[in-house]
Amino acid sequence: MSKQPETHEKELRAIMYALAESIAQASDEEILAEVREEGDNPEIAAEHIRSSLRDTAKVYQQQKLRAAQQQYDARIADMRHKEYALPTTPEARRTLLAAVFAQRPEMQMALVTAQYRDFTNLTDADVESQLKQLKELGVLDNLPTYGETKP
Amino acid sequence: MITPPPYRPPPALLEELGISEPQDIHIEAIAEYCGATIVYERLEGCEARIIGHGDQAIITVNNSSPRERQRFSGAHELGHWMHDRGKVAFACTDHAFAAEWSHDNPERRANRYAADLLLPRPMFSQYARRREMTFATVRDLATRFCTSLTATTIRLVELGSFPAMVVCSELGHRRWFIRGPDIPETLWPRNEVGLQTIARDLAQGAGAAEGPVDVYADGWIDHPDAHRYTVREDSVRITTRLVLSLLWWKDERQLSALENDASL
Repeated sequence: MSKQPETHEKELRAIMYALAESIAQASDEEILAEVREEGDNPEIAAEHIRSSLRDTAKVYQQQKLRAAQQQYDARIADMRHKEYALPTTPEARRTLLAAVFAQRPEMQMALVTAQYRDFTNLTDADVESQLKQLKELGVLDNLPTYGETKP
Repeated sequence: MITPPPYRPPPALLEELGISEPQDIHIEAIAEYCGATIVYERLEGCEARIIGHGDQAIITVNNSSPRERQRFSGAHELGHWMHDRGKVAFACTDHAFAAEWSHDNPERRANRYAADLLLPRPMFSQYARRREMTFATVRDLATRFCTSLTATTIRLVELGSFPAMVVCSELGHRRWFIRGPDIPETLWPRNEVGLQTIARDLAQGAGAAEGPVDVYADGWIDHPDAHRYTVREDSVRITTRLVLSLLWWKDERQLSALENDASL
């Protein structure tokens, strides 16, 4: 008659405890001799265990960092493929950005004055890039519609 | 979706994310954790910009800059974000990264934040210990931490093992300087860099300097007896107008003697 899985687990756990207890009670010399008998180098084995423990600790400690990296990768992929409903002509896009700056003059001062000194010097590519980012951040959502927009 | 934490000084942020080695300082992931997404685009007229709204921001970094500059730019904008979240918009020029290290303003605060994040004190001290105070050392450390020459030089002066000072000059006129902790506050660099210095040669259009040389201290230090002492100077041009100089008192007895003269 086969044993129940729970009984197996109890037996295995008992063996592991006994092994751990036997190692805990053994002297350093006995442990080193046993490792050498097995044909292993104790220094290499110890370093291997230390390295494994370090790696495991690092994986645990960097959970938030990995989650942030995954979120970043997903966001970049999403932004790359997203279609932003912006005016289709450069002139209309420039008008829309001017409207944003009229509402947020501190933004114009920071983004235009420092970079170009004058709004008219902004390139079309820069206007479009800034509008996409403002849209992505939700700044455009509460603005009245200016100029031509994509449906 | 990660909820961005409130302001965190760089050491706390690094600890929270389990970062203890230079190769783990992934600036994109760190910024994303703080609610700021870094994108790379062609930029004209500036190195980086940030647009923030609510608890989210987008940092745009010049895609044609070297990787070290890009990382510093990203960390610099993150510094703006952490200090001024919710009402932030900045466009930062190359000049701001190189020249804004002394006066207390948003650019300096952002530069300090970036330096503390990308060149953390405990990690940097470990790698800078007993290293010569020269640009050869700076370049080696900059490669290990993937950081710019200016930021790494400042860190070496602050955390290195030997007494040194970094001076940034613009066409021979001192823009800013930072003393190492072992340099007495009584010693000030001259406002006008002396004629017998490598920095002055570079400002006057000379080619690249060939490593550190000993020069008379009166070329650099504003002190009546400075001509009796020497200092090891290593200078490099960092922009068309700016020269960065590392001054190292390799013979520390000369620094003590000069300090004693200064206290007379």
